[in-house]
Amino acid sequence: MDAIAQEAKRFAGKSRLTRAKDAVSAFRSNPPNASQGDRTALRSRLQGMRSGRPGANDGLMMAARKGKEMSASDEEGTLDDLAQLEALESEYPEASKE
Amino acid sequence: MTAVLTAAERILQSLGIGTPQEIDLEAIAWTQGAVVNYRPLEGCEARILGSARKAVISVNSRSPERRRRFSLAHELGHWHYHRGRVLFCGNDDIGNFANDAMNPERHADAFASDLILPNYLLAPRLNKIKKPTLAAARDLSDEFCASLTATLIKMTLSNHFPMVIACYNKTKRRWFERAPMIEPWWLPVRALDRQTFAADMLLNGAAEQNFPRKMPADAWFDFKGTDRFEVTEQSFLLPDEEILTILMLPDRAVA
Repeated sequence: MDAIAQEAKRFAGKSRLTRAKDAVSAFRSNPPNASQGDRTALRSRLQGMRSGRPGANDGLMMAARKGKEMSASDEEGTLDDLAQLEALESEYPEASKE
Repeated sequence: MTAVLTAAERILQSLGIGTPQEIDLEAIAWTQGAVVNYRPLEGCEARILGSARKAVISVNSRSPERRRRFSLAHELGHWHYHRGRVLFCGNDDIGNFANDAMNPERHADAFASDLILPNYLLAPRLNKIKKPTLAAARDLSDEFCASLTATLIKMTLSNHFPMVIACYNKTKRRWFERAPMIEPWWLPVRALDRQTFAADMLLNGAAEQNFPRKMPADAWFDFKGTDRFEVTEQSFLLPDEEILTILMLPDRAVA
């Protein structure tokens, strides 16, 4: 009985992984529209996060692997990520349940 | 006895992953609420921005594939352990194994290692390996699509072999890892001894050895009585004029 339950669990897990692969492909071909409009607000939000002041991260997290000084191009990319994060919050509310 | 699964291994098993080839990190990230971008990054290998439920991970598109995989898995480690925190980690925080166990970078690295090289898939393969040679490590790193360094660290810490791995540059030891079974006084020397094959490779441009070579233990360790033992060494060159050596120790080194 245990073996049957285990097999069913494994099958369900694999199905979930397959659905996630499909979702990643769909996301790649049709990413959410990240508004680039309010770049100033995004920059201010990022500066708040980087300031290290308690509470200034506004509930967000940020980490970088092998991080050095952020270049201008990295900063613009980070703003793009922030815009994408905001878009994800509104357009893919169920993504984490996939 | 069933081994206790780590957080990363539980995620893999919850997705029914039973082979290294099934470890699709982008799909795994999606199941955790994270999406992945590949773009040129100048100041880091990867970064993550996350809210309470969602995250965006950017990975340096200019890095080699296996480094990109480890970086992505590392950021997923931050996502698992450090939501709501802002962490800035410098170059020296990574791969610096002298850092204390509370360092969030170590947590993220351990998570990455377990996600890419999970023990429940690795252990059966290690059981079939007689000696931890470079060839054996390369086969595993290819199968798991992991870097050779990450694979060797995992092999060492998995405690299957009486081994130490040590990384040196031309002047000093950079870091080392030791199998937990090894007596604690077996610490690799602080600078490469010139009689070692590793020094010959790093300093004189000698070719990589095809198999582990015997060497008096006192070329690698300097506690009293080391001269009674012999070890084997086998090395490969890393970028930036560094070398990583696998040392197989005698039975007497085992606690």
